[in-house]
Amino acid sequence: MTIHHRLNPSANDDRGESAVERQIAAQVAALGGAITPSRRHRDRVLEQASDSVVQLKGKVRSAKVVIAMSILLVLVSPLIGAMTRVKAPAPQTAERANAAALRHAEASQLSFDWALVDVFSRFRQEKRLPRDSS
Amino acid sequence: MPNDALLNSKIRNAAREIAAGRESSDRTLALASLYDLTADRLVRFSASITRRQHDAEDAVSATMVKVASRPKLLVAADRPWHYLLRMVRNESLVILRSRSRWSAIGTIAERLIGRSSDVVERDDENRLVWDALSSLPAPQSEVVVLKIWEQLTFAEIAEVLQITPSTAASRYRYALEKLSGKLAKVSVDTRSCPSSSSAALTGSSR
Repeated sequence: MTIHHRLNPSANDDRGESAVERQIAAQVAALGGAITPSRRHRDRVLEQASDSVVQLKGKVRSAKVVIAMSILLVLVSPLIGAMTRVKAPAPQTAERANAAALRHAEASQLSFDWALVDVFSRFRQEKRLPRDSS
Repeated sequence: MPNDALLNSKIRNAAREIAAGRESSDRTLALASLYDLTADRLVRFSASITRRQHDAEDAVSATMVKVASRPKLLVAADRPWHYLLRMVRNESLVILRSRSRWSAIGTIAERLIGRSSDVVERDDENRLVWDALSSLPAPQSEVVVLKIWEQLTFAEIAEVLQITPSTAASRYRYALEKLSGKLAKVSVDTRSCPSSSSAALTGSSR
């Protein structure tokens, strides 16, 4: 029987094995029993695996912290923006400008027109200040 | 094969325990049971690919570390034992590829530190069989090892090596023919000159 006639990967793989092949298989099987890991291999593997699990846990924890911080930053940043925003001074109405000019004219002994000029100059300066400071 | 089914279920249980372990010590304990179940067989399978003891051990270590990190892969596998064999084979091939780059430096370093790369001791009676087996082309020796050591069917070998069952069968037959030729030659040489038989085999096969 040639080798090609014996190629049959069906249910019974051992069908048609010759005595020589069985002997070779027995020799190879005996060899299998002679190959074993070294004595320290088990400890080394367990140590490596334990270290790698600890490292992995550390990485997962760091990733979780980074994600939590990012979410917190996204949520809190509008709040911080709202709290630190500088309020622009409210626009001056004609009545308030007139009242302020009258008070200033009386206090500084100026004419009403010059007092009004002073009031508007001060108001302009106040409006400029927040922009300049930023 | 009922034994195979039992081994698969034991491996799956060990992987489940690894996955369920909250503490590092629980995981290590579960991994130890998986190691005891499989390491001997995985190391010898890897040794048949890498042809070096410490490379085989490194491949098994890398596989175990991967299992410890992601045990659910093993739990979800249809046949965990075959999955483990495939993992070890892949790790062994990775080691082989990296070894070819550094083999010269590695060999010198091994000699310097006195690290032995022999899978079978030089004075072991199995040495001749090992030399004959290692002289086979890797695809053939893999099939022989899975068939004889792991007692897998050709269909199962085909699944592990990702080839067809008929390819597995033909590789096995060719390998056995070569082995019988080599071992017969060795036994003739041994009878004629016992002291030089091992050297003759090594020289003729490489």
